[in-house]
Amino acid sequence: MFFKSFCWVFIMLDYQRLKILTESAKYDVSCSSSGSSRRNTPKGIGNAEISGICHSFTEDGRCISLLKILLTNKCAYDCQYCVNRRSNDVPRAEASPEEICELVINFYRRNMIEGLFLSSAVDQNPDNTMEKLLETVIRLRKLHRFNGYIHLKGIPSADQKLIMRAGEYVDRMSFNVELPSERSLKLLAPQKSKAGILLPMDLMAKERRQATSIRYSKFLPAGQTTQMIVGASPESDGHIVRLTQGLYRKFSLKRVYFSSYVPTNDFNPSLPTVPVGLLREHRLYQADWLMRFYGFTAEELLDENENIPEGYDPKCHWALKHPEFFPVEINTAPPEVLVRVPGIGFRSAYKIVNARRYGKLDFEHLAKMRVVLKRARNFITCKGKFLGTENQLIIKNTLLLTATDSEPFTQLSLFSNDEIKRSVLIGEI
Amino acid sequence: MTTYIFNGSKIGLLTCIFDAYYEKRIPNLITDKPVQSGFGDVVYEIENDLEKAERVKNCLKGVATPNVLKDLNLALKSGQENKFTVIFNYLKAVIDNKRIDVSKNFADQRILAFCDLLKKITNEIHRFKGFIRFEESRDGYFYAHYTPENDITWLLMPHFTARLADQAFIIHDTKRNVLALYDGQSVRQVDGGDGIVTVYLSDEEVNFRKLWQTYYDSVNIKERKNHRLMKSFLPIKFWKNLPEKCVDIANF
Repeated sequence: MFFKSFCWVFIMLDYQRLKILTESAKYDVSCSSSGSSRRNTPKGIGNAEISGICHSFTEDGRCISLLKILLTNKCAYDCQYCVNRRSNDVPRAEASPEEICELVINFYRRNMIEGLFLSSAVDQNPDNTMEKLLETVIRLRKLHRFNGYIHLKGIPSADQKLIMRAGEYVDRMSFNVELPSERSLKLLAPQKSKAGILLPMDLMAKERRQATSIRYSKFLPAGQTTQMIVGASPESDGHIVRLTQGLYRKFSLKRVYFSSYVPTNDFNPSLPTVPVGLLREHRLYQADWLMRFYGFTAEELLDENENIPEGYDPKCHWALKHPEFFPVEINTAPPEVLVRVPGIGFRSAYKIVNARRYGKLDFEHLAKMRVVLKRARNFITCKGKFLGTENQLIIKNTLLLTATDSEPFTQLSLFSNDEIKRSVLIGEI
Repeated sequence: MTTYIFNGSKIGLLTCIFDAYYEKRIPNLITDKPVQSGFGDVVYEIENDLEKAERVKNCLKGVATPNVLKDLNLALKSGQENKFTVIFNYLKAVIDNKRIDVSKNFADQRILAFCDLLKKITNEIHRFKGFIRFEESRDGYFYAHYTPENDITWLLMPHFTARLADQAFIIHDTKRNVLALYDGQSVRQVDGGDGIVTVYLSDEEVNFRKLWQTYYDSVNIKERKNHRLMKSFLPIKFWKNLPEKCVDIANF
């Protein structure tokens, strides 16, 4: 007993270093554990669940699914937007591969995490760093027989052999494109290059395509993702969604993450001083979902230099620009048309398509299926009936209203604001 | 209003269905608890009858709607107050339309209600796959306690035995006082009755708890605080079993 606890003190990370290494890693948005169904091995520990599992949620509303940590935050680079940049005055620390492994296994046994999200600052040079990351991953898989989820951050410009080797052990890998254009990258992250980031992404995408074409492969079962910072540079939303679409098509990425810029450094003239609102990030994610699942293209959603209006979501934005597409008849429209209606999502569309086989649907049925009729009724007909209005201005106002009143059940008072009063008058509440 | 009272078992419910059809009186309410009856209400007490239940079961095997019996077993795990009525209405819809698969007729209130009931159970299972926390005891096994709304302990076990195959553990549903035990090879369910479970935690446990709390606090981005979003994903009712949220409960 004594010996056991004696050892423990030496192998395990202490609180201070855990704190430093996590705080340096937290700006990586991705924390999903989905997409892999790795099985447990005899005498092994862990498996991966295809849907991913969230184990907790932080105060900022993000899911904690993986132990997100850096091997070290001692960085040789000086990227302007990054908290770990060389010239930034923050406490530095590093962890050994074995310390990380021990922590992962012990957290995993207590069902606190799904696995590991491992990244690192560029210590000395990219190859050296990548080697250490690879060592940690192999140690975890081979020595500890860990079969849980591992998401590894690739180090741009590291040796290709190291990167490809890592792909055989981990579930997901990601290289961050960091910024939405090469110009901004040169300006804010002078030591990183577009080629250094995109080349390994391309290589891995090809390898994965080849591996999966043979049969179920173990090469990156959960694919690749990437992340870019929004708001640190002047690119428009239209530009960003086009870039996103290009990344999905070219590298078959699973996700593109957006991270709205948070000032993490001392004053810097080339960066904005206030954080970009989270709403813009949210709207970009909505556009991202529309492209991935709802069959929209970037060109349909936004013009090149256009930004998504903050008042309502991009689907409403598209619907308002295309009155010729509506109204849609609920009882006959194909599913890919139904999901284009504001207020009808995938679940509602599924229910509608199935339910209408048994009989014609009416508005009351839609309400029970939890279609957001407030938004949808201006764009649909049921058995030919239309309950909305064709006045664009009124539609716009109701869309704005439903998007902003996040708390629809407000107790009315004499001093309620104008917006609520108006919605009472037109029968919204 | 017609009310059926029975003992809450699966056989009992199937007997209720048999009686409803045989006697041609469709109940509005089926329950296993005593009810306050109103003026003009009729209350029937239904005794378990294996033979009748078997006949209903055979009938259900022959209907066009797939997975009825599987769904029935899952639905019975529900902790919802009106679950028997919801299940009965669904099964009635299934039996009345023997030749059609009614399971996706979402315009029908009975089917929608049943789907919601199942969804609540599967959602809770998925949530607790993440929110269950084990603690190591002095004897080396891992212990977790939680209070689910539905009786899902047994349904959670395959998930944990697959991933923690080499680890002896116990999952304790403190609401029903039911324990599921895994010793590294086989699984067993134990009814705790009125007994009290005491676990002596290993000395390292406090440290891991602190490490986890440190991690939880560090991974949060303060500039992006969104307490409401967090609570919508992680409602307060789950906090009491999560070491990282216990502190918050005291301050709440």
